[in-house]
Amino acid sequence: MIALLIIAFIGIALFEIPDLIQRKRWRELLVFLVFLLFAFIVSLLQVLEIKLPNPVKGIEFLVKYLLSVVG
Amino acid sequence: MPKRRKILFKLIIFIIFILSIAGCWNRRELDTLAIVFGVGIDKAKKPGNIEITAQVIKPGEMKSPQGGSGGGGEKPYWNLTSSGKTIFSAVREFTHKSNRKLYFPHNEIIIFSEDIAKEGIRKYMDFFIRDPEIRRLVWVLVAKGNASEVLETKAILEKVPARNIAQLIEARAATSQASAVRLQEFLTRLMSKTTAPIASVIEITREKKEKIARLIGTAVFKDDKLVGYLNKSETRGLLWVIGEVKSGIIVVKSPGGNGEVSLEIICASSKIIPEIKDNNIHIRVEITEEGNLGEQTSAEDLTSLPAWTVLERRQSEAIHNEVRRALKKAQELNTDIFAFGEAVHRKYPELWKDIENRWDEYFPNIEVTINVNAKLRRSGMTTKPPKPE
Amino acid sequence: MKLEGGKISSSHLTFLMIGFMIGSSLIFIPGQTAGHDAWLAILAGLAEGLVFAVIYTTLAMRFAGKTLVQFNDIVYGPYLGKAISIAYLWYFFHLASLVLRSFGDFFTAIIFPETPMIVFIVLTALICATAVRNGLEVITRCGLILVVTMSLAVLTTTILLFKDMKLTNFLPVFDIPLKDFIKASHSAATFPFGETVAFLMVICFLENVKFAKSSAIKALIITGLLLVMASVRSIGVLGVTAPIHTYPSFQAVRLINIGNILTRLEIIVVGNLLAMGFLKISVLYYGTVLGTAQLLKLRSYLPLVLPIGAMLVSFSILQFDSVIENIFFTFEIYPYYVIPFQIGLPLLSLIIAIVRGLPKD
Repeated sequence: MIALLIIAFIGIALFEIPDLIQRKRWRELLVFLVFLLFAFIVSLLQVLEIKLPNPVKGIEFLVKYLLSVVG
Repeated sequence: MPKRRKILFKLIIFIIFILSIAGCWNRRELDTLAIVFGVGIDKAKKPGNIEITAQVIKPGEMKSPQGGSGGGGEKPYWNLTSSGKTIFSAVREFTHKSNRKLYFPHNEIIIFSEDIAKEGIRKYMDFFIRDPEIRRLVWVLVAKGNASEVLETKAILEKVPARNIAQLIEARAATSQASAVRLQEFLTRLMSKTTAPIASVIEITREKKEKIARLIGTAVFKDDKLVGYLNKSETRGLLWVIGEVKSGIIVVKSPGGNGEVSLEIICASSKIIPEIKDNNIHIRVEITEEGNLGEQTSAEDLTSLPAWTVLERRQSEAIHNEVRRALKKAQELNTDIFAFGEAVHRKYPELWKDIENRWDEYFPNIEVTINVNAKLRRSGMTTKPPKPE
Repeated sequence: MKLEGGKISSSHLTFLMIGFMIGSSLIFIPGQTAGHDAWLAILAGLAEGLVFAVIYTTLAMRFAGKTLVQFNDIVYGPYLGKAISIAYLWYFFHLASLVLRSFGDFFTAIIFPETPMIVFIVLTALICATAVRNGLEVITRCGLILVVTMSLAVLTTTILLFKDMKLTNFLPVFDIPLKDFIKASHSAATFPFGETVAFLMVICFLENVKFAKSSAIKALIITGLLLVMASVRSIGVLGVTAPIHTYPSFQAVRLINIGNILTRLEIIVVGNLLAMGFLKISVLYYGTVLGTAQLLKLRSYLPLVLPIGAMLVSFSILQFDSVIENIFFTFEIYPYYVIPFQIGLPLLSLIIAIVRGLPKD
């Protein structure tokens, strides 16, 4: 599963990076790498079954809190 | 992007999709399935457990002529039984006996034995509505006796007993003296607060040592427990009210006195109208029917206008009596099989909130007026009976 | 530098909006909590949704040629505007992953019980990524074909179920307390009508922005009618049993039986869901990617498509552990969660724009 994940992300990188370098779009390349790295870390942690904070739980908590304040 | 890489990329995407479209994770080929045509549920010997009988067809045997010497006389079906605490566990138990996994989408009937039905069947319904393989169009039946025996009855014109029973249910429209209830309809009644569920009744009769399945009458449930049966004329009484009569024969006395006349029901419809009279709930049932003269054993001329009118009146009376009988039985059992409660709910939503939970106290004493508007339309190929003038 | 070269016509916009709103609402019927009055709740929700749509299109026409992210900077200034844009991008992203997740749940629950959900989610995301990379015009053209097919399918299945419908299932009309009804109709307004706020990222590419309002209103009304039809179909056929089903529409279509020949048509619902869900995810995905690119002042949004797609996939898996959490969120939390995005901020933007006379030429 981890191997599959790494292959997929390398695939994405190979698909985009050469074109960006060729056109000298450094800003785009930087943003791309940051986003890709973030996505990779998140999915890797998921594959490793490490519990990540779930923003939906936060939203649920917030909405319930606000509803109880309003009445 | 260079052209070469673009093509390569498209190729990879293509391969991914081709591989994933053709095969699912749990793909099942026809020769790895045991196709179930009917399910029967009985009490197991061990208390608290249930026994399931699944009728699985044998595709190889289906081809060979039934009972012919060439086919080897093998039955084209296989009845498997297994038991467990719950339906699902028992269903999975089948894999100990069958090398193929049971496949339910082609199932046509679910039969509950009388014993199970008397104890309540809500707990067994859940599997049948939750499992995505089972369709809501299956028929629900109650067997007088064991469900497994019903699945072993001899089917002469069909190859598989379950298929035979499913077709009996479809054929019952010719008499309208047996109920036909699909799982969805059963579920709707089960989920109603007041309407009582009904189911078809199947019983075994012996003819020349052969066990034959016979479909007749209606099983009546209170909440989810079987409390009684309607006989065939009471069943038609019920079907008149809920507008399910498709066809059938009404036999009345000939106006002249000697002999009988058979009237064929062509179409029928009904309306249930609740009314409040002097602070009492009152139900009016309007039944409209059209029939044809189908047969007469008397020698008189029935096509004269006075005789025709008498026949129409007798037809109305016969329908009226059938409905009365069904009503009496339902009120004795205190089961609202006619969905009168729902009719009141629709017309008087405010009042309903008060009486909803006390409907059981109202129903046995509720007054019902039955208005039958029965017409006779045609007299068939002849007018007068065959006798010398 | 323009990020999107394509232009769409107003009729294309209408079709795309219909597909977007139908999206996943053909399986989770909006207003379901109103029981057999769900169709009324949808109509009431439509009325509320029309108000939203008028706000959005007025905004879009005022700031012609500018996306939500761009005019947030004008209305709220560069810093607050960016913060609000990020919030919106989060909302689009979250909604896309929500739809993706509902997809996965549906397929694993009903059709392929043993296949891991990730397979459907990755494949769907891949298709949507392809569409987004190809730009808005491609998505809209898909919309035209798919929406016409879908409408015909809804119509056909409804006609085939006529004989199984009981009109008495709808009586008594308005049989629920007013408070519950308002809750149900508001829920129908936020899902799906209010979700058209995502079109603030799309309307600016309209060939003639004058028609934005009329085509949005047309789309909302047609969607409302289609949804009413779908809910009438489910309620009429399923009656009291409708509330216990996870996917009532699917169950209703399963009951089609015309002379034992025309049966097992439920796959039509699945096809519809697949097509409409694709449109919805694509539009939201496109909005997220384009908005992020504009926010970071990139010259092209293409490099963002795949990384954000990967995030979509992982987040759609992460957010819920079970279908029960998904249903709870959709019906209990979502109607309140979206209030700032769907009503609060657009209304505020419009008021500020009118008061300050924005945009100044």
